[in-house]
Amino acid sequence: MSQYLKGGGSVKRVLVFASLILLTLFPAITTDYYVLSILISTNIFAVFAASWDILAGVTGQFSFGQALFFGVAAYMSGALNLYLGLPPWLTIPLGGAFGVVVGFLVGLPSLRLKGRYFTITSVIFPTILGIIIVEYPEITGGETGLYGLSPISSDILVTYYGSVLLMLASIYLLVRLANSNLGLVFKSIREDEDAAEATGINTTKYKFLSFAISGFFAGLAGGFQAHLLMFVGSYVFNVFYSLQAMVTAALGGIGTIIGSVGGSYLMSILNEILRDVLYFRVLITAILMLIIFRYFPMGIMRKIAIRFKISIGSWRGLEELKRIKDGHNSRSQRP
Amino acid sequence: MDTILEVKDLNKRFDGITAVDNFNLQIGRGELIGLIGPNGAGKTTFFNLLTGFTKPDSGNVFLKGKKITKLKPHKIANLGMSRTFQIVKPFKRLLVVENVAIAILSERGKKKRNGASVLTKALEYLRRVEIIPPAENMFKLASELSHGYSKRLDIARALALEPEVLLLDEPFGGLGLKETPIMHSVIKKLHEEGLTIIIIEHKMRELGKLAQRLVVMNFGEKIAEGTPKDIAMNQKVCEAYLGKEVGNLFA
Repeated sequence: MSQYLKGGGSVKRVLVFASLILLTLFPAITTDYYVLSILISTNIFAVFAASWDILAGVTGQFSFGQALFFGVAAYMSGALNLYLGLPPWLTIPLGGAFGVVVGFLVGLPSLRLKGRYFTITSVIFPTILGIIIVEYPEITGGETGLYGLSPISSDILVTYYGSVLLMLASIYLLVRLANSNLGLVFKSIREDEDAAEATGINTTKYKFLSFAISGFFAGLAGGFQAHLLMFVGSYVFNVFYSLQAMVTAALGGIGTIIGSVGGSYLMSILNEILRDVLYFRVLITAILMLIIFRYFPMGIMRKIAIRFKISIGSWRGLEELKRIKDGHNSRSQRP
Repeated sequence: MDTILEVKDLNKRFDGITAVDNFNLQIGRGELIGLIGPNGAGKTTFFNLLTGFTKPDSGNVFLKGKKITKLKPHKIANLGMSRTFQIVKPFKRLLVVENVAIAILSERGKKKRNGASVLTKALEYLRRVEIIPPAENMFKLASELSHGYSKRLDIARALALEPEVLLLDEPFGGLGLKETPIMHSVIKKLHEEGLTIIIIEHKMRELGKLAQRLVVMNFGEKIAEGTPKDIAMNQKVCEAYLGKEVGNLFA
């Protein structure tokens, strides 16, 4: 029987509840500025990685250009704040809205390009925009970027809880989406685009929708990061950012959404443990990742889920299926 | 004859090779047609042209009198013509029941659901193609099904669109002695329910028992058309099958 249906509802509830308590009460353990800053970045990266996961892991559009959404939203939030004086609570969702627009634009080539061809093309967009940004210093600040953005809050605790709220809300919505009827349609495109078309699914429309949703959440993360650092530069379009989102999601478990949270925390822990070895950090991280991908190809979070028989990524209709199955079995046992 | 599907002067060439050559066909509502021909005759290309996966160079396809030439595959499926594939295409990492549910979530599937839940409908189609019982099958991933069940899952998914025309590409391909009669009975029942079916098949014995009319293709051309009995005696068909006694193909 499929791993999907093994339930583990009570274990799942305990784990989710414990995580929520830990996230909420963490500042009671320490209010160290550095530690909280790391946690804030970790939460933002969890959202960014989950935004890639809904597009690649759930819909099968394996993009290498997720930094585009993140970067455009970061710049838009920064520009709106700097030039129009809009506050972060407004510029961050507006950054998300710009992510949607960019999502539609990037979705266009996916109408013609499939699989590896789309993947290769997706790298080009953020790279080109990173170059263009530098060419218009009067708007974008050129090589130095946009400085002096308003912080989320002058109180690090407010910023911390803001990042927790952003992460919880984003992950909750994306998990709900992935397990909904719409998520099931997305998954059919991931599994076989031709078969999905033959099944009456307008794959173009749904791919666009997935790009837009992905762009929105990546945009929220980008906008938040810009205000967190009070600065945005062309580095946000670096392919490294896209790769980081992919690795984070892969560490947790591609296609699970929730795996992005585990992956993001794992990445942060790795980075901190290896902080003192400076130049070897990247090398050691890469080796550790190779080991993880070799022995846990399905991701750490999915591995834990299987170990404790917790269902993740199930279509919400399956609960009704269990009831129908019970009824069916009792019927089929009749003489 | 109440024509449900009409093909007029359909042509398709691939780099100088004629895959479908000036093809004409009329199919009446409720007919079960067999499309046969040697490998490379253009049968699957013809299915791809009908369902929008390949665009024709010229000619037209009409479904219930409506021109569907060059429409996208999902539009044709939603207009009432669905298909299976020669090589099965299950959504491997999804459950069997989810595979069928996706068709019910399509535009046409939603309209035809009549208020029933997606799952109730999905299970109905799985029963019709004899995937359940056993009930355990619906809990399996599509990748866990045997070849015979996968073939029937493809049909269940196509059926979940409540099509008026069903195209089956080699439904008996690779089936064993146990699975062949099940597939035969499934197709027979669907036809008896009034569904118009076109089958591409190499297993002539099975097709001969099911089809009312056979259409024979060779090098993209229609070389013969008639009842299985007529086709078995046809000289052109005999030559197309490398001089074999065609009558034996149905034995």
